[in-house]
Amino acid sequence: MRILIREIRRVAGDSFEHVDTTFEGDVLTIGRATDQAIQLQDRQLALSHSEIHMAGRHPAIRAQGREQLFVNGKRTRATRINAGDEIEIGAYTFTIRQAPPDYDFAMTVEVGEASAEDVAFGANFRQSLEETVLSKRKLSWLFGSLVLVLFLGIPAIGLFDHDLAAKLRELPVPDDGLWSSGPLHSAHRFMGDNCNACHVVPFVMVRDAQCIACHTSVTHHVDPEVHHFDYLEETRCATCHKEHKEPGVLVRKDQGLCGDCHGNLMATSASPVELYDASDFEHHHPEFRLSMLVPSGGALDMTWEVERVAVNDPGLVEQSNLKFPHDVHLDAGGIDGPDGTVRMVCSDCHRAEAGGAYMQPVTMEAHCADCHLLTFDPGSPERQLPHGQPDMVVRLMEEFYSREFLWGEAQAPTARSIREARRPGQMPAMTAAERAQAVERAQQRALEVAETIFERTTCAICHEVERTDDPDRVSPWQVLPVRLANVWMPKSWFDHASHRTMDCVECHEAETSSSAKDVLLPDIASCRECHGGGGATNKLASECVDCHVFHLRDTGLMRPDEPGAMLRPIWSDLDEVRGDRVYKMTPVKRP
Amino acid sequence: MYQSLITYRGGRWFWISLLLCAVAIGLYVWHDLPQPPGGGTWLGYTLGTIGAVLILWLTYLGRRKRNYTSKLGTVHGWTSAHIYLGTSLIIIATLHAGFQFGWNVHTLAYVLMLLVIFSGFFGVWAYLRYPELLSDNTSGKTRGDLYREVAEIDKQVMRQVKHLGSEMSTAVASSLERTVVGGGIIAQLTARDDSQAMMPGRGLVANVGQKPILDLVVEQLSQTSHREQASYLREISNLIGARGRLLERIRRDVQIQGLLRIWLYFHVPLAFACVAALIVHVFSVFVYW
Repeated sequence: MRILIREIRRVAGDSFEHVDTTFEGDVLTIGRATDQAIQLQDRQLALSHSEIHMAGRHPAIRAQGREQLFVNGKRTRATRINAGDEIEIGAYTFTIRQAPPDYDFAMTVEVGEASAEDVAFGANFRQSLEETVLSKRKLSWLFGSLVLVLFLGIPAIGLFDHDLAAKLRELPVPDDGLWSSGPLHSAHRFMGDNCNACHVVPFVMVRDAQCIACHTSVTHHVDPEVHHFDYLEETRCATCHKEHKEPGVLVRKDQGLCGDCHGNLMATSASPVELYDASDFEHHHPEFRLSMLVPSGGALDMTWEVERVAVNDPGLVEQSNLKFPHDVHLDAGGIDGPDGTVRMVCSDCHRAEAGGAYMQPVTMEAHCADCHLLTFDPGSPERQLPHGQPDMVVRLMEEFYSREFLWGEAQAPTARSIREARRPGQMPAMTAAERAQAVERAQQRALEVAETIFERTTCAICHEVERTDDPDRVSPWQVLPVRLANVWMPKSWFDHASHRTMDCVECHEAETSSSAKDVLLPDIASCRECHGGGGATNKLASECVDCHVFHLRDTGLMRPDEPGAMLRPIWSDLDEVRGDRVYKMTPVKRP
Repeated sequence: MYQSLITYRGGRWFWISLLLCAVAIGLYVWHDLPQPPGGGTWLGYTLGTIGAVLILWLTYLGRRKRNYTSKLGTVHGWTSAHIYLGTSLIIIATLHAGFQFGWNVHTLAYVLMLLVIFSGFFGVWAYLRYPELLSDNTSGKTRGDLYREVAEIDKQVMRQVKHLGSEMSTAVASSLERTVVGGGIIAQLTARDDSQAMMPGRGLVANVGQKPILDLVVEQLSQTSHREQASYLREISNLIGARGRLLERIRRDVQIQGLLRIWLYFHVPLAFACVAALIVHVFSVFVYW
């Protein structure tokens, strides 16, 4: 079989070109695959679509597989073909022509214009999202601009003028409240939505001046007149006091607040320090140190100094000049009182202050006088001496006994012996010599009794008494002044109220203390039975600031006059030069 | 061998993103601060910077994919990284925020970012699922191929239709002319058929799925006693049936192509809104420092 195949291609518009090829073989294969004799560039057609072969002397076409073809417009699967027949396969039209010399037949292959039309058929439809109203670019511009205008542009108008900002906040338009990263702490919420109350200058961190404007009594951590404190020079109020947080935590409580410096003070402080390092209550904290009052001088010129002594120091002795055995008073069997046996408890004398943190002072009048009567004459049990005034005690007794002797009402035998019998209805008549004698005897008697009460009984039971024989004093005896520590640990904070569930004696070993020299304060080990450090998981986690404060009471006020500076170095001729830095230490006004 | 965006280079970016998230979570759990966690801590600033750089880079993919080449890897690799690093942003941004949310520009940026990420998840799902549906639907042919087949059938129909009466031939011809594919957003995404046909005595009516016109031809077929006429009608009914099935596949093709892209119309604009919100976020944080 020898076939002349003419392929006609449309070049442009109505002009055509053709390519002739000659096929020689038994079967002419037609299909999309590359091994086909006539390859059809149409993906809807099968790889192997049809084949032309000789059926006897006539050529015939046969569709492959389940393919179909059209011969002269009639659907068919196999048929003979003659000159003039048109075979349609997809967009291709095969026209059988008269056989030229030496050929069995000829055939033209034409790709119909249908292809272009077919595409045009589909092209009329909107069938991609790009052809709809949707536009990624327009939507992007719209969304992006909306966000910028609503949340940046309009609120930012207020940056130029605080009054304008306030007006914006009143109007139903976006304002700088949308910029807030979280609610204010409830303590600050009274400021409302006025951002500029604290945020004064754009892009500048909130300055201390804004804080100190209200918090006028805030004190330093150290006295800047005394100490140089490198660590705090770049520190702002807001370094520790964070706002706009959830949950609102205005006060820093972590151990790092203290431990960063106090963990190794020698390394962080430029000047020598007398403080012990501490960074964790359970694992890195010195033994408690008490502010002990140390007396010096005698009864009339006694002065007191404070000495810091560790609780576990063997030399720790209370020098209050008081005698007081706790064990006697707390004896389970009771103690003798004027009205019988009394069983005393701690709270009979130790009463909490209002608020419950500390204890009210113990006083003679309120706590001791019910039992410790200041009587001096067994015959006159109703007469009591004034407490705390030795001169007055002696004077009062002189007066008491003078009356006894002068008016003859003294029951003592010595008084009676100088008195003569008198007639009924007459006052005893005493001569001047007798009266002088009576007064002298009364004074003598008063001194005898005073010696007893000062040196052996009433006063001496509780007090240290010194015989001064000071000529300027009425009383030859003087009681050493008593001073009890009101707060033993003034550098920390302790709340009795929050320990109310405990018995006093769990911390204060009063039941076994027989002397007022004993200091009945617990040591750190005692506290550590319940309290751990900040990270403690099996004890009550206790941070530094649970017992200590940052803003100490005895330091100066923070300076409101230098915005943003607490202890910031400022260059000046008058300033002190240390190392390569210059520090200006402005004196602070004491409250 | 073809690697999907998910399995690109053994899921390289999956592991990188997982590591990033693990480190962020580890630091978040480990870091112990005197204040509640948030953008203002050292970790907050760190995660915020990482998050902002990631957002800008992820947005840059839209620009990068238009370049044919880049010294920084293929678009394929970029897209794989885009997916995984974008997903890791959920963790990074949440930890950056320290779980602090409110009615403010900061949470706005966060929510927009989440919308972008989740619309992206739909995109990943679409890219994994729809190409297969596409090729199953068209048996590997292009839409142009299908249209050529339709046009081919149309030609056949027009040849047969000449032999019918004028009423029928008008009806059938109108069904070809008034065939509609696609349309608006809804029509495309729901593969709605808006085709119409001029039916004898009823005027212009909806021709959904070519069924009314097919019914008409079949009805005519049952009524005709003319043998030749019947053969034409039978041929036409076969062709219209085949045509209807073809058109259905084209509409399904349009629908899947639409679903494959519709998420981008959310993803891209929301991404720009997110970048805008990010600018507002950073500005507002520092203007009121």
